[in-house]
Amino acid sequence: MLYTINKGVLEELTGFYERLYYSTLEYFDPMIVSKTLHEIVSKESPEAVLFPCTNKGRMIAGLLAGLTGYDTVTDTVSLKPLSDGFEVIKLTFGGNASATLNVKKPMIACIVSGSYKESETLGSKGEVIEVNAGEHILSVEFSPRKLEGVDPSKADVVVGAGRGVKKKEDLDMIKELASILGGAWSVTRPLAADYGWADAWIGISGLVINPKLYIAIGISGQPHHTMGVRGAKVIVAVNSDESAPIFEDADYGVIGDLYRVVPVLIEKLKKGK
Amino acid sequence: MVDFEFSEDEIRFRDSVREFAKRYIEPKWIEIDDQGKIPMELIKKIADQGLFAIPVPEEYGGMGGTMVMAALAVEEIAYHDPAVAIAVYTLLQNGWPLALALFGQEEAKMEILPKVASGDAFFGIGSTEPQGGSDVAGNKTVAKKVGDKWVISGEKAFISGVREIQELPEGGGFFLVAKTEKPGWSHTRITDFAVLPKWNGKIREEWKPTVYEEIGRHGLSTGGFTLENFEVDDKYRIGEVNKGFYLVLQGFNIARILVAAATIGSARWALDKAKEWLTTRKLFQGRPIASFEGVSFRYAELYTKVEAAKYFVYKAAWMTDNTYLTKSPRFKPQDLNLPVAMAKMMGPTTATEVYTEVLKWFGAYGYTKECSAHRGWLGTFSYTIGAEGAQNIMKYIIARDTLGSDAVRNVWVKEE
Amino acid sequence: MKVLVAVKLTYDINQLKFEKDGTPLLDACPRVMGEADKCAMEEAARIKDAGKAEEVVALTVGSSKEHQRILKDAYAMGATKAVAIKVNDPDNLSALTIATIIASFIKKTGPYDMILLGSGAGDTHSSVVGPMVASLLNMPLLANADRVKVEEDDITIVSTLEDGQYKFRSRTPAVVTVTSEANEPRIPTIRDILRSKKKPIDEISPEDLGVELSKVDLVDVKRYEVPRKRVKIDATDNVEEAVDQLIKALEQEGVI
Repeated sequence: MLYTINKGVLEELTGFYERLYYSTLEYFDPMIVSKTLHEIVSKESPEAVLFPCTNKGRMIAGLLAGLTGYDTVTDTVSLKPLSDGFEVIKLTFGGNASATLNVKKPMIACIVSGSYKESETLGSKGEVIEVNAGEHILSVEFSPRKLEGVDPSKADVVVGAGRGVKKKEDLDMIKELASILGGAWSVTRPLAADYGWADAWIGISGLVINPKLYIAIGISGQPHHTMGVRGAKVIVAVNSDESAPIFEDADYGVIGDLYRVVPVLIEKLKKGK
Repeated sequence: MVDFEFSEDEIRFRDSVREFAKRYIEPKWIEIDDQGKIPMELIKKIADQGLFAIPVPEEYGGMGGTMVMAALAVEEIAYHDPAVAIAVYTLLQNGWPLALALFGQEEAKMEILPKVASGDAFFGIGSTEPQGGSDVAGNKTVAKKVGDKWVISGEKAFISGVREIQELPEGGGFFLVAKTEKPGWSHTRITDFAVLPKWNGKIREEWKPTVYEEIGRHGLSTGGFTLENFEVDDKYRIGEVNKGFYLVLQGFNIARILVAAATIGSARWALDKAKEWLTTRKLFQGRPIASFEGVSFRYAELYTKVEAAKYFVYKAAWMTDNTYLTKSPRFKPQDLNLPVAMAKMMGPTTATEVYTEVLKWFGAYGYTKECSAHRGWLGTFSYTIGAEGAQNIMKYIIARDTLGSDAVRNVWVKEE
Repeated sequence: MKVLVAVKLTYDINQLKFEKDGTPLLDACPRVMGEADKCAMEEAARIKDAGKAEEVVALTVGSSKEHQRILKDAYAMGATKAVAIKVNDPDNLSALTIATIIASFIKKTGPYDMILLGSGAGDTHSSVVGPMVASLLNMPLLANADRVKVEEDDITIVSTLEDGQYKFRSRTPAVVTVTSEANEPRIPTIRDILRSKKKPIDEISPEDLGVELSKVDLVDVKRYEVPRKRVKIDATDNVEEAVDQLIKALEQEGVI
């Protein structure tokens, strides 16, 4: 069973479902989403309610847990059914540790993006049921994220800029690198939240992405950022500080001045084409 | 036996200073050393955080804390300001205000101390003169009583804060040491005064300052000044007439503890920077530099010395609290001479030794401005030279107090 | 207004070390009030400073010396009352139990106009306790606030979620969770610290709140590392050569 408030998702679904419930909302309002979901869950009595481990996911998961009394785990990377529940492996301590727990059914879990591969088989799609979510409880104003270029959460290649990038204009070479590789660009939290150079950022409190290639430029590698790219297949880091933590999380660590390395990289990739 | 740990509140306080220094001092210390000036906003921030006048009683606008807390604050600030200019500015705004609180008259204390605590005024020490600093009894500045005022004339040199006083909104001044009525070598004819060359926003013309150019610790100014018939009301006299020598020495004891604390904070920074370098820099096919025993053994020695120097500081600070800031003193002021001299001798010497070695480990990198370790070297070295007590005077005090002045004495002077 | 701030004693994960076999060295890890929790406490202090709240109650689940220390820090930041829930091993309680304890305390000692929490704990960052409390109390949830504005009986927050920026607004009473970007928490001065020394910490047990404790069935916790190749390429001297090396490696990986 699936529940969504974004009808557009119907076209993208590849998995198997018996019933798909959807609500049409003017804006995301966690109170009515959780209330509506609670009604559906009470009717369906599932063994588990799964959410993506995003800010929205955690919010609704928590609200639903309070309404249902179900045990809740977040940051889950693996689930294994047991007789009376599930064996769950979840990340904790800033992603530096994994905990294995037994959780009784029924349970609520938030799954970390990239923990499971997309389903290959196009199972049969079942019933599609509309559910009225009711009047808004919170008053909501929404400004959509301005997406410049490719969406980092969908791209195969993402180039990230961190505090090693000194001026906003320098992001141009980051964008150029991303463009040559056919990918997306993004930043770490300080560049978005503090400097205002971008609307969104990569990190545990922002975008969690799983590209094939992630290139971290001038990023020191704080845990809340690296947790956002844990699922990347290959991570490259460019940083002049040999002792920066990012090098522990990188497959290829380039020790050097990004202002020298990136232009050379762009040039050679251009020539290669 | 004793409890060698800091109390929970001392730890909470130290952590709060650490947080403050990380946020506001660490990002700026190099710029301050380069530009040669601590911005007024930063001085205000330090004051607003309650880091000036820590041991001064609350009734005078102080924080009602202890010397141990003052030392913790100065050490933490110095860790984030290895060039120690900001740390020294802070310690001066703790040590000499405490001396004023202990020995000054009520009216002057109420007038001056709240403004120091708020960061609007500076109060330092004015003892050293062009002909000598270590020989306080040889001072030539004279204060003559005229009616119910004193008129002071003389020249002071190597005084901290000469520029800052001119720039701060209220101004400020010094714990000034002068001869009563006439010059001449003497312990028993010295009177101290709170002299305020700039006060209520006005600079007195009888005060003629100059600022020097120093080789390091640029953020804090050092300069000299002449006083030409500088008038001072009797209410600003600190302590009884002719008792000034013993009072200023007590003030020096207080300030010296904090100076040692600053040099230790700076030395700890150098050791931590060195640790990062020695453990991550690899040569000869992946060997960390620390794997060479000539290096790691030396690190071990220096680490031990810094730890030892720290204990001296906090023991002396604790003794000071139990001399002046308690209802039942356990020690007399003279009991502080030896422990303070040891702390003041060990702190700067150890810090300089640490920096000399650390700079060698850094190799050519240490010689670059980017490395910045040289700033700590210059800053802490200045406290081996002099500044609140020359190294050799510290050794003299220790020798005298341990071997006995009869055996050690080699200077015969007579009161003039 | 009467405000409750729930704070958590968390491990400072930046200082967490592991044994060779992957066991976390928790006993040696320093414990602190999390960054987001400090922001929650700061938000409450600002509301009090603005004259909009007379009472700010700081609450934590756990009554060890370290729990008491963070409550003293809450006092130093401006709390008017501090409460510790007497639980021996709070770290192993389920999130729902923690939320139930907080909600029960609120029901027993309320009514409160605003409940503030950090949006995610510094160490576990599950971010579910705040929402759970909202549901248990049937209060609106204003979560992940980067900015909080409090009017008479009205709270507005700005929150950055995956798809953009949201401004959520609700009447009081409401549960608000704040991120570590919401404000710059004040650093207590020496006076704040010395005054907080003598302030009383009330203790209350879960039984007094009618809450049964439910522990997490933890099998183990081990160091987690996505294995990375950690190949170092030196681009300090010869940048051209280094970049060639990188491109070759990435081509071999099949990612470009």
